[in-house]
Amino acid sequence: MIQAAREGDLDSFNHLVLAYQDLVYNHAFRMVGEEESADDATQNTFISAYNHLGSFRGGSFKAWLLRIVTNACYDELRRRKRRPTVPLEPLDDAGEEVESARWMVDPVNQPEQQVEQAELQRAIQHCLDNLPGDFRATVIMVDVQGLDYFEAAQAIGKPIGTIKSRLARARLRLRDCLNGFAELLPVGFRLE
Amino acid sequence: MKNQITARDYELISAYLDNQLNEKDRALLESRLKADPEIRNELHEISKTRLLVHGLSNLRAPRNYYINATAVQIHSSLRLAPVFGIVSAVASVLLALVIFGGTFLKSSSQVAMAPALPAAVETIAVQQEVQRSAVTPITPTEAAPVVMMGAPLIASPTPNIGALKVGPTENATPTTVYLFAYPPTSSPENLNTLNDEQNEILRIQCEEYYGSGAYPTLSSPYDCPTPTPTNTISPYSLDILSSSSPTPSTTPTPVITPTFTSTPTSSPTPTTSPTPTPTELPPSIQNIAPTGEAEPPTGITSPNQTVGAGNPTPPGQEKTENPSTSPNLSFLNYLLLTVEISLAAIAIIAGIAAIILRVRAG
Repeated sequence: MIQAAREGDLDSFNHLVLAYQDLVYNHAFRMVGEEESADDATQNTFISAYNHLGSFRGGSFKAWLLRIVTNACYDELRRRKRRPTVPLEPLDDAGEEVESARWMVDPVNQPEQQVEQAELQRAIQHCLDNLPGDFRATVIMVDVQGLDYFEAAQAIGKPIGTIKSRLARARLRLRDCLNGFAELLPVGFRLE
Repeated sequence: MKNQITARDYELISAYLDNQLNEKDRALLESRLKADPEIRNELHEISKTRLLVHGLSNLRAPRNYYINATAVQIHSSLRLAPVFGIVSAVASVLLALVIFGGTFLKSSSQVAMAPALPAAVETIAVQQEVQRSAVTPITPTEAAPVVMMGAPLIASPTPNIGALKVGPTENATPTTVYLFAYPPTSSPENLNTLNDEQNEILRIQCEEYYGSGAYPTLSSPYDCPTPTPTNTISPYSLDILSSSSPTPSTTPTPVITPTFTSTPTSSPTPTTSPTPTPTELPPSIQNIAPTGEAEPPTGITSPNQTVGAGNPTPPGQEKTENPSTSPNLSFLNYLLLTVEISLAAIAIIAGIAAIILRVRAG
């Protein structure tokens, strides 16, 4: 199917899109933290992949796609940095922003467990967003997408030693960040 | 105790959790984990962090990302936005350079044409002076000791200057200095003709003067030089023909016709050049013709006018030059205008295209 797509068969490529779009979108969302930006990054990733299929030299197509979507997310993050948007967060009585996004959840329509799970997800995403881009991409590829070190090195284009180092430092920063959300963590996962 | 754990230890712990350690490092780390509770605690916390991140839900794509040919074409056209931007910037820079260069060219051409008027005035002045000198007769009896500056005569054999005895001791009348200055060597032909006429006048005057016997102290007859028409005329040359009148009542002939022409780099000083050095002249000559004391030029041409005179050109010839340069300048102006309009159009169109593509790209 990849070979047919490389020869210009758009239908074959669209089959690949169907197979990998969840992976690409999930990675994009974890990288940029926004649905709209993740959607744009995913769309651009597949168009760019189709245009550059000739540069695919074999190996892991998944790692190749993740490399493209990572670069697309870097572009998105740079664009966002140039044009910062006002966060949709409420103000408290003193007129200051409420940092927690708990206000967005409608507690009436959701069971308590689902609410806690959603808050935990947001806390983890918040900690991911605070990581440097290189660390974030590495930890998402290994810990979220489940790539091994070799695939991650292929996707990021760095040696395995760099992946090991970035991953260790990213996990250490995540640990420190998640300590701030101890009340959201399950009992068995609470960090000391 | 916690500060004993280095970054390298965290890398080992992280790789250990991912089962990426070799046997040797694994055995070494496990022995440390058994002995060191701190590093064991760190391993535990990093492991929980890893599990928390791994527990993030896998999101499903909100829609299908099928691509079609139209989307690919649009995306390809978006990639041209930087190209259009660069083209617009380059065209703008070139436009600025062309405008600046055209302005500079026009101003420089105006500066080059500026000396035409002084040159014409100067040439007219030369002609008038020649006519005046031709009309005014120099009678031998009235002629005062004369120092004449004649361009062609400097190239002729040097007259017997030592025989000239003129000076205060002989009650000589005030010295009259003839200054004939000629345009540079690049003077046109009609100006050379004018020089020839002047030379002929000088020769006739010289012969008449010496033939009259008004200067009796000459030991040998002075050979009036035959004017040799030449195109290489020094702008300033000096010929000294001095004589003292035997009668003090003789008044100097007011035939002073100092006319100056100069090259663009030379200033029209009234001093004669080449100036005979004092060692080459007898004292009497030095008394007669002290250099630098010649009367300043009077008449139509002023020093200020001749300073900027570049190439003294007769009026007739100058009129034939302007029509030859005007078409070139006008063609150049049209060419510059065309290039400027083209570059401006390219800059504007490319800029608009780049902006449109950027807007479409969001």
